[in-house]
Formats: sequence, structure tokens, C-alpha cells
Amino acid sequence: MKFMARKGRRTVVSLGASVVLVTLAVGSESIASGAIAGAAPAGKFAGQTLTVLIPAPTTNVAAVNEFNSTVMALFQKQTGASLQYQTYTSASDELTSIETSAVSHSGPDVMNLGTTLVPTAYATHDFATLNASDWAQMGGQKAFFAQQLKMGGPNANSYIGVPIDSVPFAMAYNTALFHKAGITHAPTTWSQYVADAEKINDPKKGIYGTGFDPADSYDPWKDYWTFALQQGGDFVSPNNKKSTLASPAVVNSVQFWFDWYTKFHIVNPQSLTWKGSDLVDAFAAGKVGEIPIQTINSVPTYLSGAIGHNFAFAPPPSVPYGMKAMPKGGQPASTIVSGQDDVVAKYANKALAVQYLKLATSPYVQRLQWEQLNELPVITSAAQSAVKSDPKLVGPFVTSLENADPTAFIGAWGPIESALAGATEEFATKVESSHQLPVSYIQSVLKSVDSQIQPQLS
Amino acid sequence: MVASVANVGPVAGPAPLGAPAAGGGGLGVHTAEPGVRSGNTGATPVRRRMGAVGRRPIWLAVPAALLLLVVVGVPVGLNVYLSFFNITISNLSHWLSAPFAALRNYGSAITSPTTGAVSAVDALVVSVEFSVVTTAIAAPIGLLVALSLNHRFRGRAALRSVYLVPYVLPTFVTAVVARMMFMNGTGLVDKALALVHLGGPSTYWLLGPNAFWAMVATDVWASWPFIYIMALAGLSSVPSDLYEAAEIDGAGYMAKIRWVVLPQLRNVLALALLLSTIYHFGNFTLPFVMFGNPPPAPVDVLPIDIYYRAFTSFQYGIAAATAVLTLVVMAVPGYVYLRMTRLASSGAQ
Repeated sequence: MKFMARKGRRTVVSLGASVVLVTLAVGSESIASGAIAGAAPAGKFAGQTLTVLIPAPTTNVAAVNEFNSTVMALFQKQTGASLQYQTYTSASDELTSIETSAVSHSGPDVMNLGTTLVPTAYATHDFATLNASDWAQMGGQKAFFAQQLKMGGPNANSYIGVPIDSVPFAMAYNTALFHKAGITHAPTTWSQYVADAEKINDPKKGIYGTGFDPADSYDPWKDYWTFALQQGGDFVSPNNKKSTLASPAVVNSVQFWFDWYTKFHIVNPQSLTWKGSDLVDAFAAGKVGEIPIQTINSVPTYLSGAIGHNFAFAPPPSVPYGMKAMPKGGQPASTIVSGQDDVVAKYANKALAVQYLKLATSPYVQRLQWEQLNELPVITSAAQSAVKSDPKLVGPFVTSLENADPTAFIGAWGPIESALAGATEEFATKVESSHQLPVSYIQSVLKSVDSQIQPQLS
Repeated sequence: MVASVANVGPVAGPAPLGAPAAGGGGLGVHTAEPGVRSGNTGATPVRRRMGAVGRRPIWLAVPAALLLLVVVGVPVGLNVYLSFFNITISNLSHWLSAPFAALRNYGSAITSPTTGAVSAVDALVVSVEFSVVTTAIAAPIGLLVALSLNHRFRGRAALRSVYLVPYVLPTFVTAVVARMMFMNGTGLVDKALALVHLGGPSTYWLLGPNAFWAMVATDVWASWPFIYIMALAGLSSVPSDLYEAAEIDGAGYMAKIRWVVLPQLRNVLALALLLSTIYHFGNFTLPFVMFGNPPPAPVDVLPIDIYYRAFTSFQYGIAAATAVLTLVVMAVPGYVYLRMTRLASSGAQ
């Protein structure tokens, strides 16, 4: 990531060319030196083909293709088998692949899924559980970030998902606006966050202290979830049997988020219809002081905007609004465990699939993944290398990851996300029409959401 | 004088479908042949031809019937089957052994909400309102444009092509552009309305009740060319001697429209309105892309409701039941369509 921070757009443009050279050089080195330790004897899987479903690249396409070519060549070299990639283009496409695979018992052998979809895949009972021997081939579970593993299954003995890349969230802030407002460091409490935003706020110039995106399908629930966990609450009960979306912690969380609009006036009054991309664009344009959850993938957009290099990341605040310390039972919840996991279909050749997983999670490929695609490693040794390469940029994300909390591992998580997106739409409509969001209204809507979700938990 | 032109009406249009044509003197005699050609009038010739078809060996229809069975019959039958079972993500891989739910899925589809507290009945109401209102606005636009292009003038061919642009644009593209245009504060719609003092500079169009009208306006823009194409095709089949007869009778432009053109277009327009309504009813892409995921309640149409039931709530049985209910609702215009195209009557023969 250092190359982006230092050289900006020019580097992004030249990335494609350099990637070819780097990949060829490093790839051939690895093949020649047998960089992946303990590879299966070539020939055991000769003539076989492993199909892997991955998200279609939307940016950095040349780099992704080069990276995939390198992995394919390594896989062929190590196992004698061929590796083929298939792609999906959207979250619904991703979900459809799981469903089709479950119904037809055929399809891709390995699927690269977003972490919040792994519980859905688990619920189909159509994906293989990885045993101790499988994990041993991947260097053991200890090689991975402990938090990142937790979205692979309900417990360590029944993981179906193997982390491949990590996308933790961190708070992003505009260093120029912070400096201008006399703020010297990122906030660690939500009270401080609001106070800083109020200092930065300058609506006459179109600058707002913070921002939100109520029309986004995913961002609102992630903010509610962070606030709720820090207060000691959650969306479901600890045993995952009861929907607690109308609990005081969640109601407070929703209220606090919309208070940014109705009470503190620290977000753009036009932003009730914003999606995540609108918020990122506004931040990149230098119009927003701080935003609570951003990923490292937004950096190229920042660099191409008016904000230039005047941004920094920090772990999000962990102390609830109005408090001086996290209450009893509260958790930092810096980020959800976010990223991509690989799952192996039961109909696949598991032994061959494990060979692929071993390759994909090897320190060498994980490092390559970071260097070429800017995707954070999931194994600690490669992540340390990434931090060393650019501590200021990568450090906050790794710190966030260390304080990450997994979302409840339940098949109903997808419906919860969707129901909360619908509820947020109702909240935004209410705010638009009356410029306020009464607690009673939040409770009423969330009780309705509770009643939708509860049948899927029992 | 115009009274004799008015005789065209009973001959060309309102005769009951399948009934013998109400022959008449004057202009009515001239419309019989064009009517048969365009499928508008005169049941006797049509019946004769149908009879001829009926005498052909029935096995000729077997390949088409088999294809229909595979492409339409099997999926519909499967959907009806699924609607009676409690299928969720946890038993999806063994859906054939899912527990029988009797009519519970139908009850849930009607009463229990999906996202945004919208039930299938709410979504049905939105869908009906959307399809009817959109068609009602698009139809006169399409008809007027077709009439304006019905006489020869320089550049007519180019205009005819340009008018088709909204119709040929992928709905996804239309929805993305519409989202940008209707964005509050920064969108062109707000700016334009503020410029002419018809609205504030930051009216929310993608949220709340206004969302419905934003969706209607966008779909009208995208779909009026369909009515225009149908009307243009109908106009090209109006025999010129009818216009000449009307002129001889002293009819002016408006009288010819009223007493010659509209009666001749009646069936074509009715078909266009019906197909347009059905199309709007099934429009999924526009609200899905234009408003976010999920869309606000005022634009939460039935196809969206089914999608969320199946693909975010994993209530496959309820989604299937909702789809069956949709099928029942759509059977009404479908039956009317069959009657209008005389397939129903030909099937009876």
C-alpha cells in the first residue's frame, strides 16, 4: 500500500505494468525454489481440475488476472492438477451460487465467499467441515488471525471456511480538516467523535463533520452493530435463539446514528439517500471530516479526489456516546470480522481442494496477494510484513482486526441485514418528513423486524 | 356528412370478439378486408382460416407443445409444488423431503411482512397502481407521437429512430441515470423544478411518497415508445380510402382522428395497453437498481417482494406461494389478452 500513499495516481496507472514484471519475477522464483512447503507430490492429482468461484474484479483487473495466473501456475506445479476460476459479479450472484450448488449438488469445488455469507453456506449442510489434518496442512489454525477464523463456523472444530483475505474496518479522517479545527488526534470515544465533528462542521462551505449513508444496504447495520456491542448488546441473544433487535442497546444505537442528522446536524442534510459510494466520494472530495467505518480498499478513491494524501486511519472509537468508559459487558467491536473465506463443497475432491487452500494461505501467496492486490493477509506472519511495509497506513487496520468481533454465526444473518436495511429506509423516510426520529418510532419498527427474524432463529 | 363516416365504428371496433362482423354499408364495406388483414374485424374469414388450420394433423403441434411443457409447464408446476412446502436454507439441499406446509405459505405471503413492513398484499397494491398509472400516462404520449409521425415530412425516419432510444436502453442503465437525475439537491430534476419555481432545490425523490412518482416518471420515459410502435403499426394498416371517404364527407383533421383513426386503432391500442400494463407489473430491475436495496415501501412492487422472500429471507416456500398468487392475478389480463388475440376462441374450435 505504500506505493499508493507515496506516488498516488501515477502509481495506480503504472501498477498494471509493474505487476506483470513483479509477478513473473517472483512467481518464477517460487516455482523454481519450491516456495510452498510440504506440497503434495506432483502426479497424485494429475489430470484433475479444481474449480474455484471468486468475485469478479471491478478494479485492478490486470493485477488480479496476473495474480490468478501465478496461483494457477503454482497449483499446477505443486499438484499436477489444473485450476480454473469462475466469477460472480454481485452479492446476489454469490448467494445464488450457494443455493444452486446446494440444490444441484454440483458447481464450483471451492467458493470464495464474503464472511457474512459463510453462515448461510453452513446452514445448507452442503460444504465440507475441515478437520485437524486439513488445518495442519495449512500451517494450523494458530497461523491465522484468531478473530478472522471465527466466521468460518460455529466453533473451532466445525469450521467450513478458511480465511483468504481480510477487510477490517477503521475510521478515516481528513487530516487537513482536523488540523484546521485544532484537533490533534483521532477520537477514542463517540462523545469525542461528535465533538470533533461539530468543530469541523462548516455547512456554509459544504463541509460536514461526519457522514452517513442510510440508503446503503450494509453500512447502517454495521454502525448499529458496533454501537450496540460497545454498550453490551447485540442483534441476537448469546445463544443465537432470540432476536434482540428491539433491545435498548440497538434502539440507542439507531437513535445515536440518526442523531448525527436530527440533533447534532453534523452530516450533510442531503445525505438521507446516500449509499456507501456517495459517502466515500464526499470524503474524497474533502467535504467530510471523519467517517467511522472504511476499508483500505477506499484509498485509491481518496488519492484520486481533492483530499489527496490528507487522510489517515485509526481504530474506531470504542466508548459509547455519553460515557467515559466502556460499560460492563461492552466489547470494542472495532470491526466485524470482514473479508473473504473459501469453502469447499461436499461434492468436491476435498484432498485436492485442501491443496489449493494450503497454497492460497501460504505466507508466500498471502504476501503476494498484499503486494499485488492490496488485500490484507489473514495469516499473522504475512500481516506483520504488510504492517512493516507501511505502518501508518496498515497499522490501524491490523489493530482493528485484533479487536474485531465476529457477527453471530447464524443462517439468519442475511435476513437480519436485509431487514435492518428496510428498517433504515423507514427511519430515513421518517426523518425526511418530520426531521426527527422518536424513540417510540424506532422501537415500533424494530419490534416488527424482531417478529420477522424470530421465526428463523427458533 | 360526418354521420356516414361514423359508421366505421361499429364495423371496425366494438363487434364482440369472435362474433360475426356487423356488416354495414358505406365505409364499412371497405374496412372488412383491411380488418381481416390486421386481425381486427370480421370473424367469418378468420374462422374459415382457423378451420383450415384445425384440419391439419395435430402431431405437427407436438414439438411446440413439448417445448412449452419444458420451458413453461415444468417451472410453473414446480413452483406450485414448492408453494406447499416449508423450504428454507437449511433444507434447500434436500428440498424434496421438506415438510408439507399445506396452505400456510399462502397465509404468510398475504399477512406477514418482508422488508420495510411490506406484505405481499401491500406490494400487490403498489404493483397495480404503478402499472396502471404508468400505462395511463404513457399511452396518450405514445399515441400522440405516432399520430404526429403519420404523415410524410423531411427527417421522419430519423425521428422515428430517435424516439426508440428510451425503449432500447437497458433498464439497468435507465435506472442508474434516473437515480442520478432524481438525487435530491444535486440531481437535474430538483435543479430544473427549482429553476421554474415548481419545487424546492432539495426535494427527496428517492425516499418517501415521492419515490413512487419518480419511478412512474422514469418508467413512462422508458416505455412510451412501446405504445408509439404499436400505434404506428396500427396506423400503417388504416386503408387510405377511409381517409379519402372521410374527406369527401367533409371531415377535418380532428374528425378523421375521432371517427376514422381511433376506431381503426381500437384493438391495437387495447392490446398495447394490456401488454404495457403486464410489462410494468413485472418490472423488477427499475425499482431494484434505482432505489437501493431494499427499496422504500412506496416502490416495493410484487417482484421485489418475491425476490426478498426467496433470496434474502430464504423463505422459498412463501416466495413460491407469492409467485403463484401473482400468477393468479396476472391470469386476468392474460385471459383478456388471449381473448383479444383470439387464441382463446381458436382454441375452443
